[in-house]
Amino acid sequence: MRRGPVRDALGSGRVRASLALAMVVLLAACGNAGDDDDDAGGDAGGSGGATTTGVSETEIRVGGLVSLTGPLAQQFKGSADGAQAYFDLVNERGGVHGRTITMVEIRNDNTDPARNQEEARALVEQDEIFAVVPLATPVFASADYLADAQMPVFGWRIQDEWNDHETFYGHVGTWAEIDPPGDAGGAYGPKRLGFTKVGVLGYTAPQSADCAEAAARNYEAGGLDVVYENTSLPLGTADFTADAQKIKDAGVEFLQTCIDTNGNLNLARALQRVDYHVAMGWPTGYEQEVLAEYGDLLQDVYFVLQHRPFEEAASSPGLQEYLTEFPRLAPDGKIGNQSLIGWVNAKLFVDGLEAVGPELTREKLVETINTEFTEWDADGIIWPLDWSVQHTGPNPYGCGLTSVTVENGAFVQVLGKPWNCLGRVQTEAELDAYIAAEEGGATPEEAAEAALEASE
Amino acid sequence: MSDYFPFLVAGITEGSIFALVAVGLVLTYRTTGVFNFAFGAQAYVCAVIYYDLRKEQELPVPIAFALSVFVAGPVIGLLLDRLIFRYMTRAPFVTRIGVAIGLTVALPAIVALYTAGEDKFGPPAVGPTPPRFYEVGSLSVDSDQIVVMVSTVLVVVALGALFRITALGLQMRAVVESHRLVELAGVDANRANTAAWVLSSTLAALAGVVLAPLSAGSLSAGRFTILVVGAIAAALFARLTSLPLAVAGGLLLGIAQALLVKWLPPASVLAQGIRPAFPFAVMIVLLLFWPGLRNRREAVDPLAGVDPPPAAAGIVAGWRERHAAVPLALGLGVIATGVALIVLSPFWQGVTAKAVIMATMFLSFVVLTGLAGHLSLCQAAFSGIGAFTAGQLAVEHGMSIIGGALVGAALAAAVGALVALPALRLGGLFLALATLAFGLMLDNVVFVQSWVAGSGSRGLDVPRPLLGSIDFRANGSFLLLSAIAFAVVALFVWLLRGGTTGGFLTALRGSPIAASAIGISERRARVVAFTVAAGIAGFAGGLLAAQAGSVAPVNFSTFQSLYWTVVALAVGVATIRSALAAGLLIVFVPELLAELPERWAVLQFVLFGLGVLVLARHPEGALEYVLAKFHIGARDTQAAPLHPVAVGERV
Repeated sequence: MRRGPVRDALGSGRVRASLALAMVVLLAACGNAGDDDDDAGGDAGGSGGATTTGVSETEIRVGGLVSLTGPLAQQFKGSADGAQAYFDLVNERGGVHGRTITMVEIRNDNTDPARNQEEARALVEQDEIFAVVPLATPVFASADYLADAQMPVFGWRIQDEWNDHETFYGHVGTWAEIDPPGDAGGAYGPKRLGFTKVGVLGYTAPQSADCAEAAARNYEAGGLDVVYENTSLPLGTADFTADAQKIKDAGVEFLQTCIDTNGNLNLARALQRVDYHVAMGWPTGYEQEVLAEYGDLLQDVYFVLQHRPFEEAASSPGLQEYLTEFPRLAPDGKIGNQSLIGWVNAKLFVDGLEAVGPELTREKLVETINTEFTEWDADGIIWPLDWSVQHTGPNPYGCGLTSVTVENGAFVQVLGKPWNCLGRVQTEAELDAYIAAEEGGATPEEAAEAALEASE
Repeated sequence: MSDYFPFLVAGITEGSIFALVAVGLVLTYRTTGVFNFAFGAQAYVCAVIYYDLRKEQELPVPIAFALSVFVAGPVIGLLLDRLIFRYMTRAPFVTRIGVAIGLTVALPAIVALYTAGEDKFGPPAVGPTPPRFYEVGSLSVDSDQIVVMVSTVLVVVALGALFRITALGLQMRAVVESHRLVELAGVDANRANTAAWVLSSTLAALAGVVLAPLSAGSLSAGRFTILVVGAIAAALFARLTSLPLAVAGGLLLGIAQALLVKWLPPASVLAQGIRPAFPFAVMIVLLLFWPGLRNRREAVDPLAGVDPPPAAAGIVAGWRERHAAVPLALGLGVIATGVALIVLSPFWQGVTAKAVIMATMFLSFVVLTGLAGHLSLCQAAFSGIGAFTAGQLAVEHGMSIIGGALVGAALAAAVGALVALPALRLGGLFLALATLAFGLMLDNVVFVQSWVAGSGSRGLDVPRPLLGSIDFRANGSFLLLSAIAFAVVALFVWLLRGGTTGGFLTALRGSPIAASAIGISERRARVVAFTVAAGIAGFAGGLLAAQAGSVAPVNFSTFQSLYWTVVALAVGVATIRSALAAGLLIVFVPELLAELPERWAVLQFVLFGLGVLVLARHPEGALEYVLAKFHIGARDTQAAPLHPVAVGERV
């Protein structure tokens, strides 16, 4: 039975295998496409078709691109609910110039940059949409592709990929001030609260560690004493007791974290175990659900917001509309910044459509928003944006943030009412002047002016 | 000493979590012979059941607890035994691990289908809510932690008594040693096995219910997977046999981690490297140096030796028959690629290119698992090495992606050899665990570095190649390139399989002892298999990065490794066409599911995860089984079934 072939293969198999390898090596002697020319996108229908694609007499087709699953999905998926609910509301009221808005598909990038590019291509090339609403992903790898396709994109401005594209519309503007680490403005919160010994905490994952490190440098620039800096937490840590002991040993008064809500809740529990109370800043967790379930852990936790707090809805018709209509239209949806941001994205898109009129093209939509929307605030939900400058630079005073904390089991707005204007505050002297002016009763804009004077 | 006290207490409380899971792993292994990766997934299912009973049905704690632990747990165990593991008592380790990993992938997906992706926020405690605190020196231990510690102690005492005193305990252990000997002694081996699964599943349920509240926020399957991975080290410490040592191992691991927190400066590069890597480094060290794990053979059945060794199938076909297959396959490939280029839109050409590259990657399983009979749980890590190497060379040095992919392949091959070398002594399961630990190290420590994956959130941008005047940015031409790459690698694998190396590997898989006796070096063959497989995976990784246009750690995570293994085992690892089918399925099934509402996307994990069950009956894989059943295509005469005759089976 066992004959020939073993012997036969002894000699020739190896040789031929080497030949096959050699062929591949020959193939390798070549370059890469698109190394330095910037008309990337290839033949892949990069233009996105005609500028009226997705528009018919009765319908406007849009599609979303959101991280519905994946490691950070819990932070973004609500955005899709918000946009969908707003479109439902608009359609209930008869649509825009006789057209209803159809959400063709919410595509999911699974928090994966490669998938993000694939899904963006599918949106443009398969789904025949007019615009992308909403786009909310921590991995916006498709930015160049969508920009080349001249696609209007309305979404959650998370990263700098949003900058400098005139068809992109982030929820707080497209352009945000990118300060190199060492910006004293970042120390405003703890300094205004009167803390001096501060700490930062992040996972080893680059985004989290970079965030923590930048916060530490900002605090130092603002004249605070960084007594604890931890960027070595393994992702997925659930028992923080040993770390909490280190935080206690260091005597930290204010701790800024760059970790997810689950991690923060476990950290807070661990701090209880080591019997240490410290004020904290958390990036996420401003939700009624979190408050209801873990109210005991949220005391003295501060959340920086990019929109007016829900508790202040009385001064914003836009926020009132959201709070009454969203729960009705999306009974399974969650009230919170995720769905609110999707809602705001959809609102800007619809306001743009209204302003353009019945003759709709992508160019007209983009041009109308970029020239006519110079003070758009989503009816008081966000700081007014000037879309004639917002694609290429921040707003004049760098306003638009505020904070809430938990007092007596409820969220209350603190630190900057209605908004902070800290974007231009760079040095410790400027920060001190800003805080002094604010404590003297100045408005945020006036405080920003005082800070600018202090720098001269 | 008082400096150390809080860290010791913190370490013991965290360690008792690992201890409980490690006890579960050891118990399952001892009583069923399965290294149950799915322990965490089972625990998660029961934690979700407890959540719903407490929060949705609002049942009181004792009833919800009893229903989740003493009803749901045993029922799941019974189902696992009757539907799955009963048919696997004589299957080789690849099948048993494969099925356990398949369940790890499938169970959370089934839960997700049930919950429709809804967030289970705030896992309810067994004790008071919010937890009560009890002071231990300067530190407090909360009621949730005390529940875990008490459960662990009770479980170990009860199991110890069961094994020492009762006949059932003895029978369960004996069944693992030798199913047939036990039956010769007049014991119903199946009954003992059922009891073992019911017992271990109950323990998983208990672990799920008491551990869930220790992780505040959303209840997630990932959390339990992380726990199992950490607990593997503790289970290895116990040599997979001793329950008290499993507890000790868990506690030691917890204390060591707490001491690392004390000693290492928290923002230092040292801490950033050591803390995430620690449990996996411990795993590797234990696997390599822990007495009792070294030289351990899987087969301990005293009756195993009475059967003739399984036939070394494979190289039985004539020269002409084998060689006719190549032109035929090439012809079909050219036609298929041509049709794809004409018929498909650019978008679908891109999808097809990805499928063909994945098929190239699956060829690495054909070499390593199909031919050599080893299981690697870090193939995605090897692909990642190729992808990041190609990406960095292209971005930093302007090197061609194809060249970069080849350099990446070489690097991955070298790393593959490095993984295989120290693990030479390890048997099947332990070798697989070593690859898992290695993949986790790369995943958690290396791939997250900015010099590997870039610092931005979007991953590393990877360009498409340019060959003379041919621009591969177009999806059509890239598909052509991918098809050529697949053809070249497939030819290489085909030649390797038919050549000396293939003969050696087949002989070794048949009978290592007989093969060694005629002078075949097992170590050398194993290193060759790992090197080649890692090289192929690395090459495919480079192309994958170029196809996608960017590469990030998430593309090559340990979950991907496990998922790829599951798909490979389900579709088949015996033949080249199985690899092609696996590549097409892993890419096109999700594309088709995307047509359904979002909640159905997880169905792919259910399909492939449960697809591994095919292995139990049809070791040649689903594709070859279907082809043979419907008499489609020529029988691949080179194809060797994964285990022609399982060890211990009557011939």
